[in-house]
Amino acid sequence: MRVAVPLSVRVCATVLVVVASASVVLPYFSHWQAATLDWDHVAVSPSWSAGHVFGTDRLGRDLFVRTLAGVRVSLAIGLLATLVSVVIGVTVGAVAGFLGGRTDALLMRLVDVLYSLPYIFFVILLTVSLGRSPLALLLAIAAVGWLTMARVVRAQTQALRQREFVTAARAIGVSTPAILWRHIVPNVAGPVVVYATLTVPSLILLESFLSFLGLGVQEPAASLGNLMAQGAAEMEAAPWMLLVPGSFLVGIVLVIGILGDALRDWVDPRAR
Amino acid sequence: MRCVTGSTRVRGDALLQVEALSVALGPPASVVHAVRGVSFTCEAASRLAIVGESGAGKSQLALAIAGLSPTTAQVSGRVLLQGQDIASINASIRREARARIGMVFQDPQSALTPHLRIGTQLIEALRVDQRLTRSEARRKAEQLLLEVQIPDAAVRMRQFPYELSGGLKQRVLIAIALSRQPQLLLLDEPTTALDVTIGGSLIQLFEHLSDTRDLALVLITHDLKVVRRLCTQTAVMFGGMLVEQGPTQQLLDAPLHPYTHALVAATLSLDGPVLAEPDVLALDRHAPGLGLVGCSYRARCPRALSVCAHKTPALISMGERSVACHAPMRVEQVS
Repeated sequence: MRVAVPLSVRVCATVLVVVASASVVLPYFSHWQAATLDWDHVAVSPSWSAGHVFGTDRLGRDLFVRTLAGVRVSLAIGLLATLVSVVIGVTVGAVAGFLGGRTDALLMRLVDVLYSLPYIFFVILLTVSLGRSPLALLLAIAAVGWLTMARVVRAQTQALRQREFVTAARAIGVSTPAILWRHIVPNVAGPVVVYATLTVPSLILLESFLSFLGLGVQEPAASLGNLMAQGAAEMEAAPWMLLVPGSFLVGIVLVIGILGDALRDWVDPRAR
Repeated sequence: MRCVTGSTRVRGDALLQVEALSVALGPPASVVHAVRGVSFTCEAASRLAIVGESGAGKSQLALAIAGLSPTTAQVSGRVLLQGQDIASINASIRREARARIGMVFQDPQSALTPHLRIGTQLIEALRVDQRLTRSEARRKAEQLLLEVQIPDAAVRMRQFPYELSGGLKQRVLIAIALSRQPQLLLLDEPTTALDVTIGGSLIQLFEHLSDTRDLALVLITHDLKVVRRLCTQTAVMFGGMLVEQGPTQQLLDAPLHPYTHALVAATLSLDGPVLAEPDVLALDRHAPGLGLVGCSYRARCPRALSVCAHKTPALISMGERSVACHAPMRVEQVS
């Protein structure tokens, strides 16, 4: 089956792959490390001649290397948190949608309650109580990320439950977990993949926001959020400190968002 | 080799006994009584047809017999397989009893899981409660496909449902239904979604399977031609109740219940006897089901009496046949 891939998807996928692999590979080849201090060039603006293409911060650390490290952290947390929220969301949604009745009511009210909490406040509480480690940040982000996924999967499962192949599987005595895992979940894969792709940028934004507030990734480790927080403090004197990590964040979120939209159009042409 | 109605026979060696089975669907405020107190018995290796129009409760009856009623349905009454209640509290008895009922659904297009290969689905069915290694199951699966007359079994095993025609899919579903060596095959309108020639060859297959495997068949259909060809016994359903039951030939040639008469008359036939006054129009005018008291057919019945409105007719045995009607037709001819 050959599918015509739109230009926007090709461009976005290329940009994403290049940025992601650059963030992993390039720091090894750079003259500077993320925590190296260059006392001769403190807070210099971007210049080739100084050897700092994106400039340095107020401690003389190379902003190019630090931004790439931040991209790596932000992408990793965004992807992992999405993965965790997909696992939780699909499990809860499929179980609730398939079993129905009391189980469904219980699980979905839990989702409703978590939805109605001011989630930023909820995440802040979690990060504060779990300590400021990347793992705690990941859990806190995933804890709010799965809610919509659970609703999406539940709705899909309810529709699938009525289908005859589910009754046919029950007729031959396939157990409920096996029906869910083998017959239902693969059928919701389309919407799940699409929604997960759209979840990644929103979770990256959430991570950056928390790091910006100082609740996420801590110095000396870099994330796009805490780089922007430092940049914001100096933005009148040294705008590049904010603009460099800021444009990377905007670019990445935009590119993944466009990919998600294109994927949705491809899976469900009617939504175009 | 015969089926009798009524719950007069208590636990014997009958293959299938359905006792006062009722299925109510929907919320209490607008409950639909899809099946109302249906009782019948079916002996091993017999062939019973259940006929009736859409909405008569045929499919809900079949689902209830297989223990597959929707979770929201309220099911009462009993279904016994060789004396064992399929709704038994003991899960292993329940499982074992249900394994002896195979079910074939109306629409082969939607009864196979779309993303799994034919072989995978057959092997899954074979391994549900039989201890088989993967390769044993694969061999058995190919045998089953050959038994339902699918050529190139090895090739078909690797294909996905969308690669198969409707007739082939239905054969695969029959093979899946046979995988647990059932003694009873419930066929819920198995040929309705297929064209006539494919349907005809499936009927031949059912005949063949019933003979070679000593399978009892319960065929749910509204195609009376198929009933005549395949089934020795016929039960007629209307508004969730059995209204008439008896040997197919007698029942279709000389209906006792006015509804059976209308049903037979509505079927154009070249070789069957021509019945007078087909009330085809009456069939369209009224919906079945008029509450729980009285005969559900009374609004459409040309022979309705005043008693029909407040007394539900019981299924009364008349020799080999039985009928639930206050004013049955040509009683004199039967007795």
